[in-house]
Amino acid sequence: MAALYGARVMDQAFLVVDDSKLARMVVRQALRDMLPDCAVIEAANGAEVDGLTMDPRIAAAFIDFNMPGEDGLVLAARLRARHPELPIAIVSANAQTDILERARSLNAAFLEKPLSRSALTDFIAAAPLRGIA
Amino acid sequence: MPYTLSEMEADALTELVNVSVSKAAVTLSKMVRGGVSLTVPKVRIVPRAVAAASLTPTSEDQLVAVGEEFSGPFSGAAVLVFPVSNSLELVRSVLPHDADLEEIIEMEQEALSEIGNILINSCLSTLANMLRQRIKTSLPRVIYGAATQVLAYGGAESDADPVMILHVDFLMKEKGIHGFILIVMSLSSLMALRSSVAQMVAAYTDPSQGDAPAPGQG
Repeated sequence: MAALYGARVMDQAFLVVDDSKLARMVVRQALRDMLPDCAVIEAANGAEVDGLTMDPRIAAAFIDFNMPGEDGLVLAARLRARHPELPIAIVSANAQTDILERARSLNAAFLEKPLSRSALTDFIAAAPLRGIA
Repeated sequence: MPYTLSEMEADALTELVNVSVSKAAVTLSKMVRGGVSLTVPKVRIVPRAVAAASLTPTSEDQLVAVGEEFSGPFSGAAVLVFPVSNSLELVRSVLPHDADLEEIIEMEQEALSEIGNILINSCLSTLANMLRQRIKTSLPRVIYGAATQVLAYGGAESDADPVMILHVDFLMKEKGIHGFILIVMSLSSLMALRSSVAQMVAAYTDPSQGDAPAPGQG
């Protein structure tokens, strides 16, 4: 079970999956600046996500594309099957057409790295942050 | 220990290069009108001789490299390397029309230089921007053959001198073209790079929200 950072019971939680700790820090900090009381659950790859007891407060997932082993879209497809309504964002610099199309077909947003605050704000504003419970 | 990277430094460098090379791959995929897949970058600090050995082709196939040197707070070279046998297909892929073989051969040097120039500048400009540094790049050079020539870029004077290498494999499946992108840096650049990376990491490390509770905060 990944650590929860400063969570309060009623707050939203976000899942951040990236093999890079720095990349996870960037997303975590941006989320914290926007929603100071949110909880951020981190995982380094898809296998770690599979091992998580999914926090029912998870309101959105941010997934890196290029990770060792399976790529982020494979994980996104698995999450999508389990949680049809969960807002998912693929976070990557690799905005190639086929990757954008695969993201779209999973009803996932694409946020470009380096992550801009405005892109994150727009995604959060548009996402129905209900939690998966 | 000047010749090792901390876990966080290796993580940050891998991520910075991942983002930079991914941006460059988007550019390349537009040029060749096809997908370009990438591996996760590997960062190593090794003696130049070891780096050269890992660059030696596994088959009889010769390598061609298109590279540019860069200088600034950190210096080195970035090169796109692929088998010579893929060269003409790569050139064919970027030409705007169905060219005949003669024309492709005639265009080869110029086209490879231009591909390298666009790709490497895309990669290095992203890297420089993320580190808030300015990097100057040289004109592209096309080099056939010896891997050691590519690595001479790294500023190492002898085979025993260590260099830092960042390595990413790429594959253009539809075109049957594969190869790798290497960024070679002299160790003299490492201190400058370290301080840039440290500043960047510090910007995202909120001491009150660390992995473990800070002492006295309960």
